[in-house]
Amino acid sequence: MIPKWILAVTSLAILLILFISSLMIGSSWISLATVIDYLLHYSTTVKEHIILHILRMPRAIAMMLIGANLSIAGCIMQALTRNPLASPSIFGINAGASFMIVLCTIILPTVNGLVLAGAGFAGGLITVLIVLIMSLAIRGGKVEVRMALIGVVIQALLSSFTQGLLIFNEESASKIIFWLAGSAAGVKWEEIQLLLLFSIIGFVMAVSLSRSLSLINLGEDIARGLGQKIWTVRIVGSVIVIVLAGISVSIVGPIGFVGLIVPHMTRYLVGTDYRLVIPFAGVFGAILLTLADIGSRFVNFPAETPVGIITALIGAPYFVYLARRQSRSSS
Amino acid sequence: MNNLIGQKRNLIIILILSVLTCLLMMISIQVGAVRISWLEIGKAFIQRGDADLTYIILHYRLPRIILAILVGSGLAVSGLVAQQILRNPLAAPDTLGISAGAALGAVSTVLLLPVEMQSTWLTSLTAFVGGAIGASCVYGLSYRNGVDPIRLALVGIAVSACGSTLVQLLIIQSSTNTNTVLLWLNGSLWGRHWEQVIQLAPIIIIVVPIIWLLAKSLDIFGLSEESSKGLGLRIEWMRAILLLMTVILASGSVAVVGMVGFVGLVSPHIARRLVSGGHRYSVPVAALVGAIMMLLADVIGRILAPPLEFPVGLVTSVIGAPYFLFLLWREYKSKNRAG
Repeated sequence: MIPKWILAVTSLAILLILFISSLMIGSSWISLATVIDYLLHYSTTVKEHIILHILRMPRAIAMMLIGANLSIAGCIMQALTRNPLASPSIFGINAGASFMIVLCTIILPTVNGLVLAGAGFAGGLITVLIVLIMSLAIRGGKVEVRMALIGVVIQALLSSFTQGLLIFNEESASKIIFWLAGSAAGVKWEEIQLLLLFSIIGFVMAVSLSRSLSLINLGEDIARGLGQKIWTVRIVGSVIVIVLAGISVSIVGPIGFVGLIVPHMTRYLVGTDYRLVIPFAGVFGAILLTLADIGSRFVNFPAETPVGIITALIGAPYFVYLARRQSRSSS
Repeated sequence: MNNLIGQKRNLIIILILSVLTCLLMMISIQVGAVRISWLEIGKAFIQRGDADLTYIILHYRLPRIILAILVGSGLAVSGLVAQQILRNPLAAPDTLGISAGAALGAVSTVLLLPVEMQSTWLTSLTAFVGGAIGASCVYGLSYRNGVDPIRLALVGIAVSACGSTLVQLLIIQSSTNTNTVLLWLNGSLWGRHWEQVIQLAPIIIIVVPIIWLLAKSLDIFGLSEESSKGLGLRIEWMRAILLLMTVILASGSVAVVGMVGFVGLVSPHIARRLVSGGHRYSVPVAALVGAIMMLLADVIGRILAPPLEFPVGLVTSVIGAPYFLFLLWREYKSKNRAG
C-alpha cells in the first residue's frame, strides 16, 4: 500500500491543480498569470477578475465542498449500514431533500438559503426514516440489497412527487429542471458562506465519530463489546449525513453517485480505518466532483451541462459492478 | 367440475373488468379542463352538438383515451410475458431497461434528426432498437450462473438510470419546453392525437393477439426447467420470439407516450391474482388491468388540479411504487420460506 503521506501530498496537489484549472477553463479562457494575480490581489477594474470573482471562484469552491460532503456522507452511510451500496443518492436522501426544497420554493418563492437548507434537512430526515422503517418491515434476504432496492423505489416515488410539483409552477419549471439535474452554475457567495458553515460542522462531527465508525464496521457485537453505544453512533451518524447531504442538495441540486463511488475508492487506497478514510474521502470527493465539473463544461461547449449528469454516467456502471459483486457473495 | 367453475369465474372477471374499462372511458371523456355533459357527448357523436365541444371530444379526448388503453395493455402484456419467460416476478419493461432504452432511441430521433427526415415509423423503429439494446444490456450484465431476480432489478435500475440521464442530457441541450421534458421522462398523454394512435394501434392489435394464441407455450415456461427442457429445443426459440414481442410492445408504447413507470410491472401480478387457468385468461386480464390502470391514472391526473394536468406516468409511479415494495416483501418472504 502507498504510504499515507505520499498519498495525502499527491491528492492535495491534484486537487490544487484541478482547482486552478477549474478557474481557468470556461467559455472564456483565463491565463494562469491572471488567476494568480486575482488570488493575490483582487481588483474590480480588471474584467477577468470580475468573472473569476463572481462566477468561477464560488463555483469551484462549491464543487470541492460538495464533493467532500457527499463522499463523507456516503462513507458514514456505508459504515453504519455495513452496506457497500449505500449512498445519499441511492437511499433517496437527495430525492427527499429535493422534494422538500422544490416544495418550499413553490410555496414561498422568496425564501432565503437558510430556509432552503432547513427544508433539505427535513426532506433528508423523512426519507431516512421511511427507508429504515421499510427495511425493518421487509425481512429476509440480504439486507444490503433489500435496502438499496427500497431506497431506489422511494427515490422514484419522491422524484415523481417533485416533478408533479413542477406542474404548478410553469414559469420557474425549466430552471428547477436544470437544478434537479444537479448544477453548480450560478452559485453565489452568500450560499458559499452557508455551505462552508454547515460543511465544517459536518466534517468536525464526522472526524470525531470516525473511531466509532471503524469499530462498528468490525461488526455490531464487537463494537458493543468494546463499549460503543451503537444507537448513539447511529443517530449522530444519520444527523451528520442529513446535514451534509441536505446542505449540498439545497445549493446545487441532487448530484448522484459521488457518495457511492468515492468511499469504495478511498477504502481501496487507505484501508478500513475510518480515521483515515473520512478525511481522504473528503479530498477524493472534492477531486472527483471538480473533475466532473470541468468535464461538464466541454460536453456541449460553450453551453453548460449539469454536473449531475456526468456523475450519473460515471456512477451507474459502477453501481452495476457493485450489484453483481454483491449477489455473488450472497450465493 | 372444479375446472368449469374456475372458467366461469374467469369469464365473469373478464366481464367485470371490461365494464370497468368502459365506465372509465366514459368518465375520462367527460372530465378535464372543460367538463362536458353526457348530452353534449351524445350529440357530438351524431355530429349535432356544439362545434367546439365536438372538436374537443373527437380530437383531444377520444384519441387520448384510446391511446391510454393501447399503452396500458401493451405494457401490461409485455410485463406479463417477460415475467413468465424469465421466471422472474420483478421483470418488466422498466426493470429490464426496455423503457429507458426505447425512450433514448425515440428522443434521439426526435431531437437530433432534421425535421424532414422524421416520421412516426422511424421513431418507433429507433425506440425498438433502443429497447432491444437496453434489454440485452440488463440481461447480459445481470447474468451469472443464471439471472437472480433481485440482481436483475438492481442492474435494471442502474441501466435505466443511465438511459434516463442521457435522455435528460439530450433534452436539456435542445432546450425545449418543460412539458416535453416531463413527457419523455414520465410518460404523458398530453397533446396526443390520432397520429399517435395510428402509430401504436397496429403494433398492439397484431402482437397482443399473437401472444394470446401462444398462451399454451407461455404456460410451458411455468413448468420446472427440466420438464420444459424435456419438451425439446423449440422452447429456446419460443423464448426468443416472445422476448422480441415483449420488446416490440414496450418500445412501441414508450415511443408514443414516453416512459410510463410501474404499469408493466404491477398489472401482471394483479392479473395473476385475479384469474387462474393459464395464460389463455391472464393475457386478456393483464391487458384489461393495464388499460384500467392507465385510464384511471389519466383521469386522476386531470381531475386533481384542473386546468393543470399531471403526466400519467407520475400518477402510475405513485400508485405503482408502493405495490412494488409489497411485491418485494412477498418475494423475500417466499425466499425465506424456501431457504
